[in-house]
Amino acid sequence: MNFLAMSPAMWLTLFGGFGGVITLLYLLRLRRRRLEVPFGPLWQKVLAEKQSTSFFRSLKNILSLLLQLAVLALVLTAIADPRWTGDMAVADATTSESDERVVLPHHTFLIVDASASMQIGTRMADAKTAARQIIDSLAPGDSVVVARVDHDVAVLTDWSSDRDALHAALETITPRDAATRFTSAVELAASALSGLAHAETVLITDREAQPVTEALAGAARLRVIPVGTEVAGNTTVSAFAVRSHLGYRLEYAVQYTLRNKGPGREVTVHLYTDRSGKAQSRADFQKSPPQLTFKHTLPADAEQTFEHAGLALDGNRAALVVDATGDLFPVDDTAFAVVPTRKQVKVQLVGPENLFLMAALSTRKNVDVKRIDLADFQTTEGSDLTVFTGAAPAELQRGNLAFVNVRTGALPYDLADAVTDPAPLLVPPTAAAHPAMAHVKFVDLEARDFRPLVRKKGQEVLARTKKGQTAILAAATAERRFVAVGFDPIESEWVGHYSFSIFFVNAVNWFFREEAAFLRSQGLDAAWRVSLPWAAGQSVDVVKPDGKVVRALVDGAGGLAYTGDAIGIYAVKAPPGTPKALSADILVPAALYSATESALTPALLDFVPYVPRVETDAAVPDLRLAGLALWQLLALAAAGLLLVEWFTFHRRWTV
Amino acid sequence: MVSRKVYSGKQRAERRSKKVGSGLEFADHRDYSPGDDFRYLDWQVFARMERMLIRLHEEEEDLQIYILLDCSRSMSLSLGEISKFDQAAKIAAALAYVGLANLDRVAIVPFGEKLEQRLPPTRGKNQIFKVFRFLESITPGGPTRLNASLKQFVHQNKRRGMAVILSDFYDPEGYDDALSYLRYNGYEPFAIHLVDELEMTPSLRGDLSVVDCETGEVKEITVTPRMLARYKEVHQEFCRNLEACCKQRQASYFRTAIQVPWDEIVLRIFRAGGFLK
Repeated sequence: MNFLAMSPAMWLTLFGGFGGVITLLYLLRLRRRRLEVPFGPLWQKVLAEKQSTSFFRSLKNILSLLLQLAVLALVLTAIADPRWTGDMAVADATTSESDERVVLPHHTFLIVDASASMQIGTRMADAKTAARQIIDSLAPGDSVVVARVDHDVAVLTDWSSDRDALHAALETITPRDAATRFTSAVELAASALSGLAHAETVLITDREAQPVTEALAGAARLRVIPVGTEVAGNTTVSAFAVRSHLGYRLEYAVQYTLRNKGPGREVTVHLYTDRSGKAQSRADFQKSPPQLTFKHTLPADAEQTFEHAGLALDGNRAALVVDATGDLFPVDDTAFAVVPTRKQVKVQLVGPENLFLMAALSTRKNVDVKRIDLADFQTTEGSDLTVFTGAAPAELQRGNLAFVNVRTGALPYDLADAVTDPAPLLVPPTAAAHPAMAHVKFVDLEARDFRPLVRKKGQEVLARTKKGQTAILAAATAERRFVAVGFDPIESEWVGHYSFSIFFVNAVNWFFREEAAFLRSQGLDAAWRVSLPWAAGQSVDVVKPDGKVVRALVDGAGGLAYTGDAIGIYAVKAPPGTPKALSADILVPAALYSATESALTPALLDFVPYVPRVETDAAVPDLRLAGLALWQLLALAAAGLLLVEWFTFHRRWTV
Repeated sequence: MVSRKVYSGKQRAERRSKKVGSGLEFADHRDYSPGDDFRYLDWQVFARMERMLIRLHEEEEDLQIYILLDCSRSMSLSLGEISKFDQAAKIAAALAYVGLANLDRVAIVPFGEKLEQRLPPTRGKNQIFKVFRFLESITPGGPTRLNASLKQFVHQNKRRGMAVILSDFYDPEGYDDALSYLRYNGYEPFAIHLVDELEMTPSLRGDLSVVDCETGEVKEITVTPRMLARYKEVHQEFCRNLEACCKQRQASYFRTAIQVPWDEIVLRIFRAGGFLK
């Protein structure tokens, strides 16, 4: 049996609610009026004659309540408009045309692809047209949910039969710059359709996405309406970075990778820089002419990387725009990067003379190193970085700090017992992404004169021995940033290794967030991985390329818990109360960087195409008795029971 | 007031006693003895029989009347405009007046669970106001224990007389022993059974919790016309049983509804019970 107007769960909920109220009222009715009588034994004698312990007598006491609950059940079942769809629904061939049939309600979870590739040509318009046809074909009792999907899914309506509301929600869908990930949307649809007999998920897409599993598609009863055709050719920026020159920091190197799909072509690459410090979108950058322009000839179906060094760039951010004739997809022709800030760094080296360390720190021309003895040390203020070797002051210092083989003094970490045996060093996989460990590898290096560092909560291990002892530690808090080396670089012969200088150059970059030079642009096809210098759990404001501000959180690993949906440069604002030294905005460049999205070739996915419903598909015979539908019979039965209950109550039979 | 039994009274009243004394009613003759009062010589007998005989007369003595007034809670419960206790008090006052006017000694003994503070036997019509004040001072309440109360009454009072019980006789322990105590200890019981017609035929309907006003016992009932009819039968049976019990113990019984005006009740009592001669 089917219930056209109410699900079984709803029926049970209503019965439980109203039944509870009826029972409560029944119990309240049982509260009797108190009456004082002069002589109770006379009444007792009358009652004694009437008392009966028979089951029927006991049943009569609650018969009124049972009748009322039965009436409620009949009324609710009538409201649910039951239709018999069992064997009786399979009518024999002689069913006459005059037999009434009823169409069961249908539920459609409508998902519209709003990814970047839907911007091409008329794909989005075609998708909306198909969606409107589905909405306009709603039969009475049918309902639709409208949802939008790109790298995330957004449900725009609840189950609704209101065509106007559904159309209004549909009109709000516009393609964004993000890539497509269907899985979460189809999972959501499968969950929404569970328990519904006549339902399906309709996905309108250009199919430029990874396919969902067959099991998930089956659970969601997925049907696909494809839109869009293959595009002949497309040029994409698949990587773009600006790095300060390793040797001379006043110049920069620009590196970018172009992917060409289709025949070979001539392209022009424009490099824009921003002097205002405010540009975030492509339009912002293109308010000024490009600072540099390059021309390339791209072979057919090939990917090439280009690097230009020795560039003097203005501003702290750059945009790369590829101009290819006939390119229909401008979103993936643009990429953004942060230009590392040029700054003269003052470093005070506190401790005995250490030429190796002096040399490593002085690798960069913008670093001024001054050495003082610990006894002469007064404060870290006035220095951008303070490096302690061998010993630290008795009072824990604030600011940017480096500890190289420090054994005494106040330290922001603990020391374990000294290790006598030399221990081979390695960079754990989790530390490889740390800016200080970029390009650093310990090959045939052992830690000597080594006191392992004991990591505290929030501190990151950058290097350890094969036995798991921490050799290099780093941390960033509101009060200080530090790196700590637990072994003697000279005894360990690290000073003669290439990674020694690179480590300290990286460390200096990290202290001044010049790791932005190595900060990869974030793609719009996957969750972002952006490291922030602020404490976990804080909420931050993110200014999007269109100027809108959204709230995001710093997650437990110190990363940004947010993924953008438009290409451009995002500015992450420091939380309120952040010390001035750590309060500068974190710039996050974002480009599409999605090979699937930029393929512009609808993937050859196996899918079940959507077929519009035929009205008779879900029609079942509307069985009647004496011309009355089932719900009418139930309503009459309820009325009859009410009459019985009223009569028996007034006759005092059921109390 | 007439009592079936003759009780010895200490003072002269209007009740004839079997004592030979200086009353006006001729009782007997006896031979003259020197020294007898010549005024009492029956000269007519002497003229006929030439015998000197002295006329003896009946001594008129007072009757002790105890008005036992039920002042339990059930008497004060009123379903209408008047309660049984109010009516009983009026009847008690009327009976007391008649007794006082007869120069009988009247005592009013309230009882409930036990005997309450009584009005001591008093005599003379001018004591009626004392009786009124006493009756007004009684506050009914508490349960009824006829047996214990009348047993206590019997033990406390040596002088026998007429015991008029004004009550509804709603005692869970019954009334048999109480009447027996009176009867077999030389009292002349007179039961005046007060009934409230509204109690006998209550106009009740529906689901009720009836609470015994004296014991507090609660019974849940659903009143139907059938049940009311049965209750009326039970009540009438109760009245019949009381009457039968009084008859068995040779106690006078009079039942009246309190809805009847009290003066009418008193007249009916007198006519039915032979109170007045």
